[in-house]
Amino acid sequence: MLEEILKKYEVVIGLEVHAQLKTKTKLMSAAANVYGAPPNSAVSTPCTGMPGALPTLNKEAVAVAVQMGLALDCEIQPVSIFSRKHYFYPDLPKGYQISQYDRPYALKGGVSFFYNNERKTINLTRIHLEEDAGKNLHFDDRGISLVDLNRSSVPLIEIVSEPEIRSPLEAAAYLKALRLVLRYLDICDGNLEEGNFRCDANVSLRIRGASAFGTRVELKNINSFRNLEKAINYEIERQHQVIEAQEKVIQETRLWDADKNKSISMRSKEEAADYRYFPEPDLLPLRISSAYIETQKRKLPELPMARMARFVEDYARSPYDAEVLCASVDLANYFEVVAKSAGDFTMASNFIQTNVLAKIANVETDFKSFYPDAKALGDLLLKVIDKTLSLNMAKEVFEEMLSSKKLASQIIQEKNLFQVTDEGALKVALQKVLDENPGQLTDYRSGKDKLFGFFMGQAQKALQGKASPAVLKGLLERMLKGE
Amino acid sequence: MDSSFSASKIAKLAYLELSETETKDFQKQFAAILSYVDKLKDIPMTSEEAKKMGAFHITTSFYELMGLDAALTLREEGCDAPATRLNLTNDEALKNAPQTGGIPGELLFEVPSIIER
Amino acid sequence: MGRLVDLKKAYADKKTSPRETLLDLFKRIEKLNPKLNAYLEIFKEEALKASDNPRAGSLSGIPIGIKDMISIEGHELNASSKILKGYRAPRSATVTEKLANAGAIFTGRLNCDEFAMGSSNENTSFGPVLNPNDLSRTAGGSSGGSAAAVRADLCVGSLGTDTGGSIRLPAAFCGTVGLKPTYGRVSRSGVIAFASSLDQVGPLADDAQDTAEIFQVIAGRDERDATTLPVATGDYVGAAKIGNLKGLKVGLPKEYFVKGGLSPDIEKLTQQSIEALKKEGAVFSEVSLPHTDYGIAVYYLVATAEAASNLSRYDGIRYGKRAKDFKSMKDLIVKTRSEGFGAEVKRRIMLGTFALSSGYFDAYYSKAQFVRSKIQQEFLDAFQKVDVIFAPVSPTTAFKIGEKSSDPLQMYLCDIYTVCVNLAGLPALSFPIGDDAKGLPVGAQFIGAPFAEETLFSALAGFEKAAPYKRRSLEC
Repeated sequence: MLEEILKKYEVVIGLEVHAQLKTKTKLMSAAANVYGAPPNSAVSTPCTGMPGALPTLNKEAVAVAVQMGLALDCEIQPVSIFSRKHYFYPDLPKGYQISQYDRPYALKGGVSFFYNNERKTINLTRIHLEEDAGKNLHFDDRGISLVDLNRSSVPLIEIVSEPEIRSPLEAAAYLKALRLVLRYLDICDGNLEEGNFRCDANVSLRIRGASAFGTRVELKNINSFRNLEKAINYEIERQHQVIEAQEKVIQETRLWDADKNKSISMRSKEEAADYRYFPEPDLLPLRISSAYIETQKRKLPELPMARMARFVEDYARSPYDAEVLCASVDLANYFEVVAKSAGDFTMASNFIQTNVLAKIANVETDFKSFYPDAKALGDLLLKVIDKTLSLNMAKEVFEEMLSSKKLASQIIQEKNLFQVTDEGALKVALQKVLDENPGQLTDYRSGKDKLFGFFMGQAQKALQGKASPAVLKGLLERMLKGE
Repeated sequence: MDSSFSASKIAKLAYLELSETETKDFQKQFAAILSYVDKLKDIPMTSEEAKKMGAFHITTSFYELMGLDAALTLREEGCDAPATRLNLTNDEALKNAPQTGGIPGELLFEVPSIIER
Repeated sequence: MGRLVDLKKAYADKKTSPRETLLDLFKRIEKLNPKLNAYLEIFKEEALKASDNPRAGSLSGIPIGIKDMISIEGHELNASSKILKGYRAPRSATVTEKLANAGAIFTGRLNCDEFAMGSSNENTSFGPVLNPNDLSRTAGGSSGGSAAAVRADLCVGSLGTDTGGSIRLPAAFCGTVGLKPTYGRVSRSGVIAFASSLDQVGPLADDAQDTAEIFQVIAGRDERDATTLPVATGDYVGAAKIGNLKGLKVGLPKEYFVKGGLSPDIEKLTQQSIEALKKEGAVFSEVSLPHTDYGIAVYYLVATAEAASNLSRYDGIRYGKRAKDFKSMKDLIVKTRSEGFGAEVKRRIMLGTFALSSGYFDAYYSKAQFVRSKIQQEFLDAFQKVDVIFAPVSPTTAFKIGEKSSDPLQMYLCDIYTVCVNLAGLPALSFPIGDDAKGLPVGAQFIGAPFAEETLFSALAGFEKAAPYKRRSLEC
């Protein structure tokens, strides 16, 4: 169904992402910026809208916001202005949100990522700073809602993309890439489920080849990557139905319902909200000098795309491998240490992807306490390179290291796990296997090539898995030919 | 200057409910006030000036006048920042809450259900 | 000599004690406040307790009244409005924190126009403040209580707020001195916001020295208020002791002295004051402030826009008086605000909301700010030529209760001599220059360049020597 639609129509997508900044205090007050605190315990007079309370702009929030702008190649504005955005709601204690309206701190820029094996860049319109609102907890059965203002005035940056995204998968790739930059900078955990990273999608359809944009609809309440895809796909089908029925797509906001797998219109009978924006009189215009920008530039870590490119260049990784290994700063660091100690980049990459990543639930957090650490793993791989262990044996040692926390060398000593490479010993074992399995030998000779593996397996078993597979294979081949 | 002021429309925006008399009175008073304020249209203003002056700020003008560095107005995150004295405990934050029928010792502000039935 | 400086001396000479002073004061308050309605709440117990052992400081044991717009930790704060009935401030404003640290004793909460919106202190849910000079007349507003309490000796000094003349007008109507500081000289943290870019907290007292004593304590940059400036405070107390007018260049704005602009008595007294100043060596010249006429229009757009915004937080959810009957969450907010706000507050919220609304922003708010910058520039240009500007405060003396309250526009036009100063962010010191034929005080003001309060105090000190104002004893 979707495929048919997309033959005739092009989908135009723009994403608006809100990222919470992990500063110590809030954007406009000195209350603590913490997640999961008891309700209304991380609050102050300004962020609860008490009479007479005034906002004070957080220096660190500005710094990390500028860093993010620089990381995305934005034009940081020398002067930007905060504005009040007015509406009445219990989670908005002042009756207005301090945001940036017509003078945001960053313009343009772009997010780059690999998509369909190509490097793609989606341009940005702008980034601005604003306060988060509090939280409403609904208890409809009791007819009440409860308001927790811990989140009120937590710093947010809103990153707005140009409407250049052309598919749900591309949208997901964009979002993942954006999230990765935030995580590399360590200024936001980038967690859709926890709500410190939020995404709204603007979706419209137009006939392929048309230059004008169709009417766009805003989708909200997208709380996972899966729902991002589902919501956009649902919207494509919905708008298609409307268009095919000769009706007009209405510009509106729709809430995605993840349980019912559909979106609901938030349109009310009243007119569009008039936010009565005006410049915040309690704050000065934000002045950012070029010296300040240079200072923030120097604080930037190596960014994801640059690191991936370096992995391709310096470690001869494929772009796919590089992307996997750069999934977090900790993982990328881990790889580099292992790769440098072992010297064999491919072995390091494969071993990490096959064995280590299987044990890591969260690449953002789990490396901090993971053993074997990079140095220990590097030592293990050296044992394979110097032929002390076969790769299979190394996997066993790895498993042992996980539980016992011992060094590879220790485990090898204690379990006497040295690889057998001596041809004499191996020949004896192989001969025994061939002698004890005459039937299979005959079958092999008459063409059942698969039995080669059987002989290998039996010999390994007899040798407690310690035979060097390479040497064993060569011997077996010669023995089967020679005899 | 188009002074099509609708008292009822503006009251809605401002979350005020006016009686019929109030609406009539306000409509009349505003006609007089807006007609007085209309004298501002004597003063021409270009769109660039509008953009610039919409954000006119006395403090900024004084910073410029006195040659001071406005970068000093950002709040540092240390615990000794004066703004920290404005932090509240849960008790202090809830002390003035006018909720009725709530659970004693409630930690949150209570309002009637936001979802309209 | 003003009562504050007198009292300091009396304490130092052990002629009296803070406790005795406060006992006397509360006796007077109990007798007179029911008539004047200057105080909304009296802190008798707390003040007497403090008077036993007041904190050391430049205002140690000095009784100061606080306008009901300024937070004192633990005390109720209503902005003279029903909507805040029951609200107790969890933190003190920076100014009251400073006064307390200097040893001042707070006598109580002073009545004012609701949310400081008004020129007569008649826009209050708790009854108007009456003028101690004539109980049938208003005390002026919005800081009517602050001025009346000082004039009637119900405190030795007070704090008020001035957004468009709200300290200077009641000071003129009641016959006290009142200072509106330079915008950004005194912290607004903890002061209920009316118009953020115009509000300033200032002292009211008997004379230049008394006013300077209070101002010295509250002036200064505050990190909790980003609109305060890192400019060193001056020696205001010192300046108020020096009354040297010789060579002081005084400007007279020609737009302020048009024919028929002032009542005859005020015109006469103003001219007399000019002569008195000239005699002491002040040099007068004419200055021009061509956009004066637009001041009220600009003020009533900018101030109401900011006020509408600042009053959005009063929704009955976190504090204050919540409506009882409502059908939904939205209805709760609407009913709370409609029941809690008085007519003038609603009027200004509506006007301000309109000025900010979509489609009207450029024509109203932007245009007003544009003209505002011109008004400021004209003053700054004038201060290239003169040290201070001398001007009237009000076209009339205190009017009768109810005289102007039926026509809001007429009430707004009272502010003609005061609003431009707020629009420009300048300091201005209002002081009595005599009484009219009815015995009602007449005021005048010195307007200064930014952060030049010292010049204002010293000019006033000079005037007080040249033409001292004799306060008659009050009948009330």
